[in-house]
Amino acid sequence: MLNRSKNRASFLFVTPYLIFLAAFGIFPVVYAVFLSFMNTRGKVDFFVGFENYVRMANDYRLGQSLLNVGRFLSVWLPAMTLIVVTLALLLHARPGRVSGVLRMIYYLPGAVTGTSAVLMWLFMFEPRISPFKPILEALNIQTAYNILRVPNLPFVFSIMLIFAGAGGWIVVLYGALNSIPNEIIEAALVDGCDSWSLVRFIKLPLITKNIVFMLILSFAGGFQLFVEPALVHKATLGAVASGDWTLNQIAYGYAFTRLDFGTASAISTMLLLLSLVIALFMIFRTNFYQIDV
Amino acid sequence: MNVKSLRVYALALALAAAGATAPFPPVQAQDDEILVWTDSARLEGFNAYQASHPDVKMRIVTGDMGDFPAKVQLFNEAGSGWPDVVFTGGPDQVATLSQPDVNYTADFTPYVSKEIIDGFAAGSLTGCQVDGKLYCLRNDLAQAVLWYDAALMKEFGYAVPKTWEEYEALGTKLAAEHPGYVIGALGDGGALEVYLYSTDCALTQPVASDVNQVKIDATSENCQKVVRMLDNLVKLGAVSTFGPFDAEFVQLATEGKVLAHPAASWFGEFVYKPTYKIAEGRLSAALPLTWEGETSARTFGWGGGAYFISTHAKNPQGAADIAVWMATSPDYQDTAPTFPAYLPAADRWGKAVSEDKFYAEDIYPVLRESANQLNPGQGFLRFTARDAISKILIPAMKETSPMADVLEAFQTELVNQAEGAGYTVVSE
Repeated sequence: MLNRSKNRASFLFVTPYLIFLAAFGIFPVVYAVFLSFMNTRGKVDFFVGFENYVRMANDYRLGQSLLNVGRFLSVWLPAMTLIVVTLALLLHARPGRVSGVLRMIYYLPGAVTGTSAVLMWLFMFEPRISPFKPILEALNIQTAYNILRVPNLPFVFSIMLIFAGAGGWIVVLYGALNSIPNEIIEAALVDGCDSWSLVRFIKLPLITKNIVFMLILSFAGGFQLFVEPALVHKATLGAVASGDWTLNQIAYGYAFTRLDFGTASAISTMLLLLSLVIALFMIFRTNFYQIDV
Repeated sequence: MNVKSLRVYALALALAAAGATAPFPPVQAQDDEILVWTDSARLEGFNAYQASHPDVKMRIVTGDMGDFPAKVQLFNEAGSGWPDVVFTGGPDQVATLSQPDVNYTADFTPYVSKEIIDGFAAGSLTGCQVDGKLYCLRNDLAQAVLWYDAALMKEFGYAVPKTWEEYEALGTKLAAEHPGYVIGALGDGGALEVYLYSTDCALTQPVASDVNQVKIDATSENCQKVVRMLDNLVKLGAVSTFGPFDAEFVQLATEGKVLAHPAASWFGEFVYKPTYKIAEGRLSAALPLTWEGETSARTFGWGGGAYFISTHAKNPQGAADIAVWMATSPDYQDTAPTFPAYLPAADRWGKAVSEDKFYAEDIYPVLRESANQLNPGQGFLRFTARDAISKILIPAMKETSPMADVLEAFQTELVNQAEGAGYTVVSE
């Protein structure tokens, strides 16, 4: 009897989310996959098979944008993982009020997201108005363009995203560390573990799943990078980055400049598939869903 | 109550809540209403039309016209909602909207007299003419002229250049005698287009016989001579590598260090007055420069708006009347902010410019003559040279390497963009 009312209650709680998930999550994805096989210009949509995918594969910008996104991910993911894990471990090693205050401070930049974060960073990069003027001038940076040069862009976007996103993940990993049973840590200390061994043999292995989770979500988000390059391009009146630096920007161009929703959907579907493949790879590699006894 | 009926109730509640808020306000006008889309700057003009024609039912909507082709595509998908009259700040949208499968822009010719059409500046309507049909009317022109500081010219004892060769010589002299002063700002796509479209350098040249072909020859001698001149001036420091709207160049301008500046006709009102804050009585304008051996000047149109009417309009004559009134009527164009494309209106508009004490002399004759010198090679196409310029030429310039070295890459990028937009590229 108790089980049935528990099931009913859980259904009630989950149903609103399921409705929105279906309407704004699943249905658009299915519709986009459907559109990717259609030609949407003209009065009537008609089926064209893989033509949009071929067009996407032949796009002269595809290779360069894959390279751009790859370079960005290879800078951002390791840097963010290192920073987040280190700070979470440090916070966990010194629990108390200071740790709590610091957690909140790390989380605050997350409140400035997306377009606001980009604008804020553009102001910080411009020596004339930046609060970090002495540092910038010491690095011989006279104008924001010195920083926003094309080879620097992976680092620029990494800084923007780490600043905005690290705080949230630090809180998540701290929560994961907190859920490690105290007995294990005490037993380790009794066995003569020093701090570093504690991290290496106890804490890190036990939060590996959370780190993998963070990597999966970050990879998917980073692979679909759009806001930061698009805004930097617009804010510098086109002088920095191009309107097709990332794959998502190319898809946006297809949809809203070339009026070709079909090819845009093809690019989006490919992005989804790639993120799914990486996610599945990481899940099976790390036995993510295995429940520890 | 079992779980199943609970689910049904929950679903019904959610749907009812969604329906009650009606998230999409009706855009479709009533049957005899003319739906007008405009930007905020032209709103007062349309309101003036409504006030002087109270019997005409209009619904005026303001918005950002940058995404207009995408909105038309969405209306095409939905099958309704197209505005009947549109003002857009991007007249090259006509290239996308006049395509047969998009089929938005309607031909003005049946609804406008030939006399009025002939009154527009020479070459201003060329881009609107596709396949013998007139798909847009120009509102205003942004012909590039040579702005210069007359007082400073006199002080330094220089003559105002008439040719690009004289311009380069002026830059050389200026860099030697007065370092720190500049005669141009290159760090912007539009700014570079002013130079590139000053001659027969085919970057986006429409092919008269075929609307889906474009001539691109960015490595021709004409293009090379422009880039050579610019590379030289950059090396000498006689031009700024910043754009005309960048803080660094604005500072140069407010300090009075900008001796000359080839830029659009609207720079006087909209950039020199409010942003560069040049002192009264200093600024003047000269005719667009020519290259040696050329008989007539060609100049770049850096903007300017246009009007479209919709093929789906229920009252096309009424819609066309509104567009024609906006483009030609003295009641609106005489006090318009920018140079009217309809020359009889421009002449009346010019009286205010001639009497404006801000300029050192009467610059209207220069604006008037240059209005007829728009480069026919500019064209309204489904892509612009600006993206390729920003991607290839400007980074090279900012990295202090000669733009001449990347002309091949520039040509490749232009061809790629043209082909991506569905054009066949020819080089003759």
